[in-house]
Amino acid sequence: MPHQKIIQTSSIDAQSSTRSTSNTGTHYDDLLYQRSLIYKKNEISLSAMTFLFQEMINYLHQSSSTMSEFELKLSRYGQSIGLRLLELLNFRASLPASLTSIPTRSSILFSSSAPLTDQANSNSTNTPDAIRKREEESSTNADLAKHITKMRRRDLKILDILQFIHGTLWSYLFHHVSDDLVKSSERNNEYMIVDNEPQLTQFIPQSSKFLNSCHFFVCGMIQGFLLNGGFPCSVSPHLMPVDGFDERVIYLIKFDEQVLERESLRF
Amino acid sequence: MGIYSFWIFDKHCNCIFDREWTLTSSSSSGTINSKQNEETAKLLYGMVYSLRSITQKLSKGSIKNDVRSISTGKYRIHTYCTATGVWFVLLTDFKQQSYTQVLQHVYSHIYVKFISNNLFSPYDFADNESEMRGQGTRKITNKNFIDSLNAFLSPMVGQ
Amino acid sequence: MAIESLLIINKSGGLLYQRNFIDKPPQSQAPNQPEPQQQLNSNDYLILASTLHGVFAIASQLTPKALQLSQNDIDYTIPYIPNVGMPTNGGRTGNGSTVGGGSGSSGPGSNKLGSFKGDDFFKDSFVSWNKSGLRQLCTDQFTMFIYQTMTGLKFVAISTTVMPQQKVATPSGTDKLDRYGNSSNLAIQIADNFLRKVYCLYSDYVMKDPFYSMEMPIKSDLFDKKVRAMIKNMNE
Repeated sequence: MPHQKIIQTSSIDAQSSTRSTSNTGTHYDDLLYQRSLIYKKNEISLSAMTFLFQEMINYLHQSSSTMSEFELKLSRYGQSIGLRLLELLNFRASLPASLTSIPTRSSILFSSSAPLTDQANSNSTNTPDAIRKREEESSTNADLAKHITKMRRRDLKILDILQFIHGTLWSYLFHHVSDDLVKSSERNNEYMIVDNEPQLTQFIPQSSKFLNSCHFFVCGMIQGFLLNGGFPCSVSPHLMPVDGFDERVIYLIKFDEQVLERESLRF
Repeated sequence: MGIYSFWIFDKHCNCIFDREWTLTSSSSSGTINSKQNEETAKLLYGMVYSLRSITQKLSKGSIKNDVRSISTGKYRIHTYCTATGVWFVLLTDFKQQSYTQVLQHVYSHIYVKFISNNLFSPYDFADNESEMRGQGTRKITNKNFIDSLNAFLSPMVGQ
Repeated sequence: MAIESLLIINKSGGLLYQRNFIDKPPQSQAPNQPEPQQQLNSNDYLILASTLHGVFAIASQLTPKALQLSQNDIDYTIPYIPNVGMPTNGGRTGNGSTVGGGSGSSGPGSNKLGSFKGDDFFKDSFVSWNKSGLRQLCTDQFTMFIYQTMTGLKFVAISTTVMPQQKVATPSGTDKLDRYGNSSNLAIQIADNFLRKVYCLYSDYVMKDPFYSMEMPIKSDLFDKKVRAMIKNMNE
């Protein structure tokens, strides 16, 4: 009999706890989905992001048998982000300037963490104030569409979409535009995006023979972005250190034949 | 509280004298040559010995490199090693950086006077084989030595 | 304070990292000395690390009875000392740009401190976790400082600075001690500030390296580079 009792109480406990978690869960879910698409300065700790990235790499590294398998898997992670970013960034670029406080030079993904001792007081996301603010945001979100007078046109030219990556995508991800955008002089279908100081991989030692492979995450993002925009291609990273920038990396974009054919059809 | 305890070790790793003060208020408190301190003495000897061997390994050239003081989070250990292998060790607080002069004075004016120059005091405190190997229990019991040491160190206890 | 050598010892006494930063005297001295000073080999350093680790544990056992009885609390707060191990010229300008515009400080060169914002790793005083272990070892030729982290990791710096043997500048010394609590003097405070920054570098360039396995020797060349730069700043 006492046996049963224990089970009962525990099941009640479990119920109540699941109920409470599901409550808070939906609460947060609602907030997440109601969050405005307008840019809000919403920084993420670089430490947290690199720890996550480190775990991603570690996990993939252990689950892959070959290096190319690892690169492919990492690149897929990036692709799923790139695919979505095309939509989001195009939408944001369509919003009138009055709504977007800092239109392009804004980063959501990365920012440095606060100094070591300040961490405690910077965490104010769940104060009533913050929640109220979010609710206000979500109300503006509903009639956001009517502010858009003219949707940004889809990029159809190779150069246009590469410019968009160089400027808008890079600013969104890394807080700055990419350091260079170059067309290969040898091959027609090759373009290069240069980053002098890649942020995500900055803590990975250069002596590591896997460093180059770790760049496939960003490659995947570019690839997914281009793929979704109708530019099938393959992207690969190349380490090209120059003076002062030991970690300089070049993302080489090779467009498929069909892209070039389509490009040549237009005038 | 300036100083907490004072120890002398001979060349056979034996503790031949220890004096510990337990109350900050009273300079006559504490123990002299206490049996309870035997384990502590061994630990202290081992610690200083280990650090001396590290120091000598890290030293440059043929110049002798000796440990002067060891600071921990709670107290500071000062050491003074003589040529005959006798160590004087003093545990103090952090107020004063160096006790080298104090230990030098204890050696030259108290130890040499009442132990080395005293024909009735044993010069080597280890008598047989096992005592030579760190099993010795003999202590300095010379009254003059203890009295003058007390007189010299007591003012520093309540500093 | 010139840092001669740096060691990192893990929580079980294993040596993770050891570098010498001051080159041994060149050949000019070799003819004078019949026996050349033999360099410590890696095995010696392993022994050294585990010995230090052992002594560290013994140190807490030796706490004098008077201290155990009196229970007076020692203040373990270490004040922040600016510009320890930081470049002497670039610091101020970096500060200005970061404070000036949070989003504007996107210049790739300005963010030199990895994941740390601003011009220094930390700006506040901190409490030492090393409350009963070894903190400083003064000898005739060098001074060794030990900084322990909460997880038991130990950073050991060997400095060529020799602590004064005589009672020098006692009045000003006591003045400082009164201000900062009596558990440490200025040299320990500087060393703790420095070693805490090395710890910050460790948290960036070692802990965030996906190919580093815990408790294993550190091989990251980036960490090496950053530590060397910091020690160069210290030694200047």
